[in-house]
Amino acid sequence: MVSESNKETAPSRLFVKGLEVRHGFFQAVHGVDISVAAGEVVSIIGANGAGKSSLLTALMGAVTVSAGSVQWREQEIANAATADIIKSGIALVPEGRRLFATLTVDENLNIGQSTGRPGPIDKDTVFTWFPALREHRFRKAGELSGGQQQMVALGRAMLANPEILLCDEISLGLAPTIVKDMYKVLLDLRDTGVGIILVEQDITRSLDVADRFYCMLEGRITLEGNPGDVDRDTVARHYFGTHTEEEQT
Amino acid sequence: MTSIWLNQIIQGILVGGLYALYASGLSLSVGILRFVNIAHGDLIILACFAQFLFVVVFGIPPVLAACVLVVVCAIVAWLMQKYLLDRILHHGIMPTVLVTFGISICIQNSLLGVFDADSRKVPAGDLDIASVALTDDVFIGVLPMLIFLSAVALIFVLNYFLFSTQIGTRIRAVAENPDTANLMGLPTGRLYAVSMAMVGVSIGLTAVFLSIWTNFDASAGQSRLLIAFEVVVLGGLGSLWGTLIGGIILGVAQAVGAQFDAGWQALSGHIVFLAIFLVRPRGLFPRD
Repeated sequence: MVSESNKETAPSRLFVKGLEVRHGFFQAVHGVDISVAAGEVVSIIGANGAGKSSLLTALMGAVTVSAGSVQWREQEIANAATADIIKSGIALVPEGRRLFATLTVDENLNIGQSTGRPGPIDKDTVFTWFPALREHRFRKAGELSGGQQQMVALGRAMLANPEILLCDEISLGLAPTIVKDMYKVLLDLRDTGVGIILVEQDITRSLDVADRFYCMLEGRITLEGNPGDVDRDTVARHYFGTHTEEEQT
Repeated sequence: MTSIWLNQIIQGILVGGLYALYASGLSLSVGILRFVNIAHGDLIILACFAQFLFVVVFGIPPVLAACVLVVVCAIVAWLMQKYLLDRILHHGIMPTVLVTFGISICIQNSLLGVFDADSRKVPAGDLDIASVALTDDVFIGVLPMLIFLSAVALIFVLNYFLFSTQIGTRIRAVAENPDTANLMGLPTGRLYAVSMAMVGVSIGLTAVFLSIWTNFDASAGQSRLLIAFEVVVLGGLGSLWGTLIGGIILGVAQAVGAQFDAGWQALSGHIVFLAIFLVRPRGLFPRD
């Protein structure tokens, strides 16, 4: 319903076409088309179980893509090894943080850095963005507060020096001030030319910062466009599935 | 009179070094790789027979043979992980118990077939009887002292490897959560294989000393496994220094028990183990 943005010509763009993911007999993602370019924030919204996390973990090669393609820098990366995908410049902040709780903050960050690409972001950069982490760098990650743990998870992904950063529910369960700080860091990162996919259940905040958005319902994209062009009522109807068939994109 | 007890306690501590050696490999596999290796004791005995072949049959100088043995054990353990255990490690605890139990049976029966039921020992020449007198009644054997110091050195090296190197950090990450490690792009399979090679090093080193310390036969692995398990549980899962302390406690308990009555040696070790296990079920130094 809303035309693709004119960023189509940007040099680095991740293209996902007709992507399908199955977990046994259950199909979590049905033929999803999305794209994200360097330097833009794309928001994927949807209720719990809409297939957002399945989509992101499939992009990382962690669950099998059963059909469709993922094009990145003129290469097909669907079902490539996770390590190779990270080295090619895509990193994930996983849902629920997934830190190594018995390792120190420093060790968690080292893992992100050592599996990633060389680039401008080092641990000092991360400590500048999240000063609390410098203070706690030799404590076990599992001993930190939820917000601090989320900062470690973000820092770990950023240290891979990605060109595309996938963020899965980073604001879930966190205090609004912490979420605000983290979003500010994400926008700083975007300004350095990193493309960001924000997966959230919280519509308001992620649509505020997004250049484009996709709304998912039961494994399909039900709506896409620029946040400024769509009213919240339309978004809500596609989010909850009360929209009519004619509205379908 | 006191010197008799002092002597027993010192001998117990030194034997504890040998027990810590048995257990350090098991501590790595149970505490770090989270997999129960029923064949651990048999692998040690298999390596003892290999050392026997090297030294007694082929006549290779013992120190050279020991170095070769440690390297061979590391390679065999690495291959075993890569081509066998890696296929079953991610399917719960039962397949690993069954497969390693199968390996245990295979090793015992192969050894029985090749070497019969006779017990063997690798002669160590002067090292067998050399000792240093502390007082008129208290002696320290050079071999037990060497074993104890080797155990301390091995545990120090393993700890350094696990906690102060990049690959050690990655191994601990994989140990904590293999799924997350995969999601982070860590080479999980290779890290498991490297850890198992470290277990192989400890098996080889243990066999070098066990083969000159005492007689061994094809079925000697099971009692070694039991002691190794007790030491690992006493020390606390995943704590290598705890393993050393656990070994010492067991060694001293056996030595003191034996002083009351020779028949009490093994039993008093088990009783002390059970008593501590009752009070501290997670061991003396549980890791997290």
